[in-house]
Formats: sequence, structure tokens, C-alpha cells
Amino acid sequence: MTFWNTRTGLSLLASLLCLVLITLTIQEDDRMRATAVQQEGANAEIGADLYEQHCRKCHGGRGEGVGQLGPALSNRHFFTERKSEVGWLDSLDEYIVATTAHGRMMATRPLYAGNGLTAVMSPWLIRYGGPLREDQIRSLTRFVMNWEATALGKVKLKSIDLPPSDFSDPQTVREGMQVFHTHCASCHAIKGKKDPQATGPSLDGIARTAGNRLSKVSAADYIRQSVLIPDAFIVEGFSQEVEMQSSCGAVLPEDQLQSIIAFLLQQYD
Amino acid sequence: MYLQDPEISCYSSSNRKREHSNGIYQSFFRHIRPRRYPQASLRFDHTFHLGFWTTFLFTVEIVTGVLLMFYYVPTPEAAYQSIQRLAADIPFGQLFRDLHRLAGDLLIIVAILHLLRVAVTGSYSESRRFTWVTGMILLLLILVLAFSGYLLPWDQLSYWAVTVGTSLFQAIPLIGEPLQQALRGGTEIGEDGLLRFYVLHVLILPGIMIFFLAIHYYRLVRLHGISLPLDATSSREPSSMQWIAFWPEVVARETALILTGMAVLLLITGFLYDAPLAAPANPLHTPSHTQAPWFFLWIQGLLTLGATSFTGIILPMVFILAVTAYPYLDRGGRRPIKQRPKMLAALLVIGLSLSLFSYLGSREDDSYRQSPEGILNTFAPRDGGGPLHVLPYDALNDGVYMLIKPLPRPAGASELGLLIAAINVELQRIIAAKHFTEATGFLIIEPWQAGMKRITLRFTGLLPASPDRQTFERQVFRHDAAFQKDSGKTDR
Repeated sequence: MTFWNTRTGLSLLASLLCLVLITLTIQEDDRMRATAVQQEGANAEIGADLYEQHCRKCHGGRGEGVGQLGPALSNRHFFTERKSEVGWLDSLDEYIVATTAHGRMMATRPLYAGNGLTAVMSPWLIRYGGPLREDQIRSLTRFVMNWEATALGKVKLKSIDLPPSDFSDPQTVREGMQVFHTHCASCHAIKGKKDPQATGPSLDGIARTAGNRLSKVSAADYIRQSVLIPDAFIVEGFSQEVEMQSSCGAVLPEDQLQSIIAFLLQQYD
Repeated sequence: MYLQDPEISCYSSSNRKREHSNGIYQSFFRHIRPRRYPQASLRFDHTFHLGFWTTFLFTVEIVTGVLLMFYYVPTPEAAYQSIQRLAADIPFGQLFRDLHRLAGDLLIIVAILHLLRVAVTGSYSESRRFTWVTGMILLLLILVLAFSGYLLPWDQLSYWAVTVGTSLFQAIPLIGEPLQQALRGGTEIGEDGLLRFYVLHVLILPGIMIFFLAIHYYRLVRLHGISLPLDATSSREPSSMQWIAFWPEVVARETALILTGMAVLLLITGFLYDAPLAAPANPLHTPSHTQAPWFFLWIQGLLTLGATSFTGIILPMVFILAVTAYPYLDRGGRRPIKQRPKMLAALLVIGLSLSLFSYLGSREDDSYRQSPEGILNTFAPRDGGGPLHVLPYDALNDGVYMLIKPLPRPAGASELGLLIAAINVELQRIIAAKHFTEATGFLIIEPWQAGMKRITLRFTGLLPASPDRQTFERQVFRHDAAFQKDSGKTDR
């Protein structure tokens, strides 16, 4: 019989086991709290990825909103007024979860009225025909709620000088020409080619004029804003009533929008 | 025949009747355990108590598994959340999961070592042949049990490991496809598949396992007892052997082993080990490198020789059947391993082959790394992980870091500097190989939200097949809280 099989040995082993259990018990609350915080962070990362895939095109890369397509999700109004605006009694988290899961059949703001044929925002939960699970929608919500600190001015982010998008890439320009002829050419003329029914201004020389129209706004930004927010800069002679249809610019995927900008920036003459 | 075996004669029916009549078997435990054990059979250097440890770990699996069942929800919508909830909201939930996972992995290792010990000591002859067969069945059941549990966390790691694992069934002629679909609950693993794996894992397979364990144990305890070391079998008369009483000596020994085992498991799971949990399962996105669970890597390795029914099914089946039937083929009687050179050689060949094929199965196909897309997959995989995810958050200094040209080392961020250098090396490699020419690259780290940064890795250049410049880009989001500062792990 070895020492560990004696009464003393067994008592020592049992004491060691109790010591381990007591240590783990003491640490458990802290561990659970730390895990919860870590999961929140990890879920925000997952939400950021999902936002890039599914939400960015309508609500903007940084939640700034896109034209008449999707309202801003990162401004002060959203975090301070939105709940009372729609009469929502629960938390803002639950409002985002509910809206994302169920979608929105009708707009609550006139600006985002949709085209009257489809839901303003489709449901995103798998159960209602969308592509996302509930945990994914909660991760998305975690990401959107993470804008609160900057929206309320508690945190200010530093900006960095990003390299410009490569608008001179010939492949991008070629793709932009195809997208332009599909979506824009029926209203806008390029090099004299214009539909008799066209209602928009000619875009000949747009690369030059876009850069000169407004100080502090680059040609690329001018074109981008004009496509996304049709009534941002109305050209003289064109009434505000004759706006670009929302189905033109606001629903274009980001890569197509980029390619159109690249193409229009080549139109000097 | 059994009565002539000194190892079992003490368990003969006449003895049992006498013991019954003496009223020794009054308690349940005394009924299922022998009254006394030959001292030599409990020598540590003979068995290493591997059979005991296998039973111990299986018991840990059952106890922790039942506790986990109270919280686990076997649906694709809720499974991952329930695992997260277990870690963050349920006291000791993470500990139970860690114990379950670690004990499961150890169970496979200990069971294989147990089998190896029996093979080396030659304790499979005569009356023990069928016990060996039940042991092999138990080992296979342990492997299938582990495989069925692998899917349950419903993360990318488990989802794709099980997808790869079940795809092996396709190699079976005629019934492979229907068998695969029956297991997956369709062409892909979904709601039905998860439920099937769950029921198999918690009900059907443990039930079958307990049945075979009972047979194995019955034969061991009631028919032939624990084998004796060869040097202790010279005296074959029970009367001349030294014995240890079950109560209190064996009970004390096993209590000491259980206390030690529990303390070691708790120390490891409490302080050193966390059961892995990758990003939630995404059936629409296949990771760049998928592999079967570690204990089936040898089959995946075999398939690298050619995905045929021969390499995927016939070869493993022949191997398993040969090992199972070996005691019936080996008629040489029990001899020391030194006198069985063929057995020794076979064990070495089997061990080396399994290691080699496991290595082949785990080896990444690095041909995809010869492209900019491959570099993106290496440093910023779509489903999380990768070097950009394990870099400490504090090391992510905001800025635009241009690749290719010699870089100024970012001040105070040596880990970032090393990572940029590593990306540069990979990029230079594919440029030198002319897989991507006239290339430029950027690593952009920008503040995205409070406590969150967006990291963009972008390459622009010419591919051999295309005259146009192309851009390859991947973005990774990092949240300060997602990084565990003490362990350097993220939860994705």
C-alpha cells in the first residue's frame, strides 16, 4: 500500500481537489464577466462583417445612410430620438433586432418611402425568409449599438489619410461604361448619344465640371453624391421635380458605383 | 478450460456460490466487483491502469454530458448561442464543456494506449480473445461518439470537419450516397442533420457503448480477471499467489486515482485549456483549409493517395478487421514482446503509418498560396482567425502601410512590424514566381468605431492570364474586448 492509498494520503488528495474547486469557485464570477465582455466584442466583430455584406449598401459604410435608400444608423438622432419617434417602449437594442428580423413593410419617414411596390426593408431573419439567424442579427445589433459612443460625442475617432481608390484602373473604367449604359444612359447623354426621352443633363465633360463646381468637393465625391442623393446638386435648367429616380443610383452596389465614378472621371470632353 | 486458468479460477462458479452463501455479495458494488484481486495484476508497470482510466474518463463524459444537455439547444439557430450562453451566463458551464471536450479527447488516446498495452503484453490469447473484440468495438464506438459530438457546437471548425468527415461515406459503393444523406439529413448538414448527430451522441451511441462495456467488464471480472504479468504467471496456483482485498485496499487505490484524475482534469481545464469555439457555422462559406477531426485525419490522409473506395473504405476496413481478428490469427500463445518480432514490427508499421497519414491529412494544400487571394486567406481568413486576428489590439497602430517598398518600422509596434514584414515576404514570393506582377499592396488600419478598428489588406497587380490590373482586398474588424490579453486568444 503506497502513501497515497492510506487515510492520510487520501485526505491530502481530497484536500487538493477541494482547493482546486474553491479556487475555481472564487474565480468563476470574474471569469463569466470577462467571457461576457469578450463575447460582446467578438459578436461586434461578427456584426461588422455581416454589416459589410448585407447593410452597407443601403445604410452606408459607416452607418451614415445612403441617399433615400437607407437612413443613418450612426448619428445622434438615431440614438436619442428614434425610439420615441416610432413609439418603441423597449430598449434600442431590441428595436434594432425587431426591425432587422421583421423588416419594414411601410416607411416611418417620408424620405424612405420605397417605390410603393416592395417592402421598404425586407425581413432578414431566416424564419421570415431572410438569410440571417437570430444570433447573427444580435451580432449586427451589437455592431450598430457600438456607434453610440461616437454618435453621442463621447469618443472622437481620428481620421487617417487613406490611399485614393484607383479610378484610373482600365478594367474598372470598362465595367463602369457597361453599368452606365445599363442604368444611366436612358436619361444622361455621353458624347452626344442621347435618348429623345432623356430627362437628365448631358454628362459630356463631367470630369472637368464635377471638379470645378464646388470648392472642397472633389470630382469623385461630387459624382458620388449626385448619384446617391439625386437632389444634392441640381444643375441649372433642370427642375427639382425632374430628379434621378431612386432606382438609378441609390440601389447600385458599391463596386458598380465605384466603376461608374471611374468611367465618368474619364469624360473630360 | 477456464477452471484450469489460475487467473480465473478464483472467480469460478463454485467460488461464487460459496461467496453468495457466505453473504459477501450483499451490496451492489460487491456484486459487480471481485472480492479480491491478484496483487500482480494491479501492478502499475503492467497495466498503467489504462482500463481504469478509460472507464473513469467515460464516466466523466457521461456526467458532464448530462449537465451540458440541460443548456444545449440542438438547432442551427440556437446551438451556437447556447454554447456562448454556457460560457458567459451559466456558472461552471465553461468548465463542464472544457471537461467534456478534454475528457473526450483523452478517452480516445487512453483507449488506444490500453489496446496497445494489451497487444504488447500479449494479453489477448485464449479466453481473452472475445474480450479483445469487444475492446475493439468499444474503441470504434468511442471514435464515432467523438465524431458525433464534434458537430454540436455548430461553429465553422466543427461544421466543416464533419462535412469533410461525412463526405468520406461517398467512397462506399452503392450505399455511400444514401448513407451520407441519411446521416446529414439531406445533401448538406442542416437542422435535421444536427438533430440526428445530437440523438446519436446523447442516446443511441452511449446506449450501445454501455452495452458493450458491460460485456467487456463482465468477461474481465467474471470470466478471466485482469491479466497477470508474464513474470508472475510462473506460479499458477491461486493458493500460492498474493491477493489484495477489494475492501479496503482496492477501493482506497481507486479513490486515490479518482481524486488525482479529477484534480488533474480540473487544474488543466480551469487554468490551461479552453474547448475551442470558432466563428458560427456558415454553410455558404467553405474555409480555405478544411480537415476532418484529428482522430480521422489518417483516413483523410489515405484519401490524398486517391479518393477511391479502396483508399477511403476498403483499406481502413481491412485494417480494422485485421486488428480485431488478430487474437484468433496469433496461435503462438502468450510470450514476451521480444519473442514476437512480427508483432513488434507490425505495431511499429501501424504507428508510423497512422502518424504519416494523419500528417498527410492535416497538411494544407499550399498551391492556393501562390496567388494574392491565397495570401489574403492566410493573413485574413474570411471566417475569422489568422494573424490579423491574433495580433494584440494595442499593437494595431492606425495608419496606411504600403507593402513592397521598404517600410519604416512602425514605432512601438514591433508585432505589427513583424506581421507587415511577413505579408511582404509572401507577396515578394509570388511576385518573384511571376504569379502576380507590377504589384502594390497596402495594409490600412483605421479607427472604425469606439474600441473597434478596420484592417484592410489590399493588393493590386497583374495576374498572368489577364492584361488588366486587378485588385484583391479583404477587410477584418477587430474589437478591443474580443481579445483575451492573458492568453492571446480571440473567440472567433
